[in-house]
Amino acid sequence: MQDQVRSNVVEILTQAIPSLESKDSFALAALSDRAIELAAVFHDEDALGIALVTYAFGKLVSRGGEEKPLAPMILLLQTAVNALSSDDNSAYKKSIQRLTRHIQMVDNKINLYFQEILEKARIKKGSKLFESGFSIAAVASLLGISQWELARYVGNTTVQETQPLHTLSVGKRLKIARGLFT
Amino acid sequence: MKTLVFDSGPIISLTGNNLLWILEPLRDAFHGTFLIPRSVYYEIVEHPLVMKRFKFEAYQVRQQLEIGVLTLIDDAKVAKLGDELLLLANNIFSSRGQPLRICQRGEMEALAVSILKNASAVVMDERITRTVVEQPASLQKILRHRFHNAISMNATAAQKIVTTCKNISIIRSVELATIAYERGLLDKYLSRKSSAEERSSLLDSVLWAVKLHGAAVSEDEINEILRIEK
Repeated sequence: MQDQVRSNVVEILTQAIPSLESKDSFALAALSDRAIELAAVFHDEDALGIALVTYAFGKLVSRGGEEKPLAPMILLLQTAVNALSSDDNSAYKKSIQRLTRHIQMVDNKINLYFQEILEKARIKKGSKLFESGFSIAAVASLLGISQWELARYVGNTTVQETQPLHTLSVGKRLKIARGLFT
Repeated sequence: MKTLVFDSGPIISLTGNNLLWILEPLRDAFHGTFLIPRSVYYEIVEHPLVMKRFKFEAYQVRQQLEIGVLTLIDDAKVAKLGDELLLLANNIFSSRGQPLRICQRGEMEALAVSILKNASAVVMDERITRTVVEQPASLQKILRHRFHNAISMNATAAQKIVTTCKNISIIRSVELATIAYERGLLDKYLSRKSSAEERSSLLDSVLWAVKLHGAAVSEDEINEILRIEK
């Protein structure tokens, strides 16, 4: 992990712990946005993983999570922070893997719920990357999802309206198209 | 032989709206070949065929290849030029000294095919790649707004890609759908005594359907197309 990414991830994880303890879904969503920006700039998978995890936490607490499932996750987050601060990448990755597995295995119903959240998180974050100025294919490749999947999601964003990129007028493009077919 | 090159997006958008069938009559009216590069084939056919999701969509696209409406081009020269274009495109902008990898191989291979085959046009919905080819400086503002950091632009790389791609014309799936409408291909969706208003409504519905499946077109642009077609 690059130094700049590491220091940012430590900061994000450190802030995620009190946010999770206080069930602050807005703070967790903001942390996830920071992590996705990090992943976008540095194309770093570890940062992306943190974005997904913090986003999933945000969704969990906003829907009302029980104390029991959160406590072990908070402990694993702290372990991850300690490992990363000590520059122990191997221990860090193991912590995150355990955390991800824990999220998936807490309860059968919650497991299915989280599967959906994790999948939606990937798609949602994909559309945010798209809004950041990345191509659909680049986003799909970064997140390991299909363009088929991403197309429908980004089609429902308002990015064309909020960030217009009109390089050629509609009339001119239509004229080109008409010229192709006799 | 005239060629029209397709990126993944328009095929995905047409398939998702049960409009893939318009490609055959359009190909006939084009009097040429519709090409897709290897990476596009992998993305929209080969990869989903081994998954559960979008497998049926992949079958539908594969059928278009098997009946010759679409033709796969699998050429080392395409891959090589695609890589060169990718390197250029992904070195135009940087943030904190790191290049921003905003484009992907598939999109670049579509451009590479177009250059090597001297294609009539590329059908590409992907707005970032279109902008990189047509007017890369426009992207800087969007990237700055999103990244909250100084975004640097490598003017040499930007100029080089614009020059390399200067003969490429790009149209989108919305333009294809509009041409299909103009040629009466969509008339089967109208009732026998359709008014001009209903025809316009049909076009509006098709353009929005294509937009909602990922085509990079704004509401203003759709309204402009409707105005032109009245």
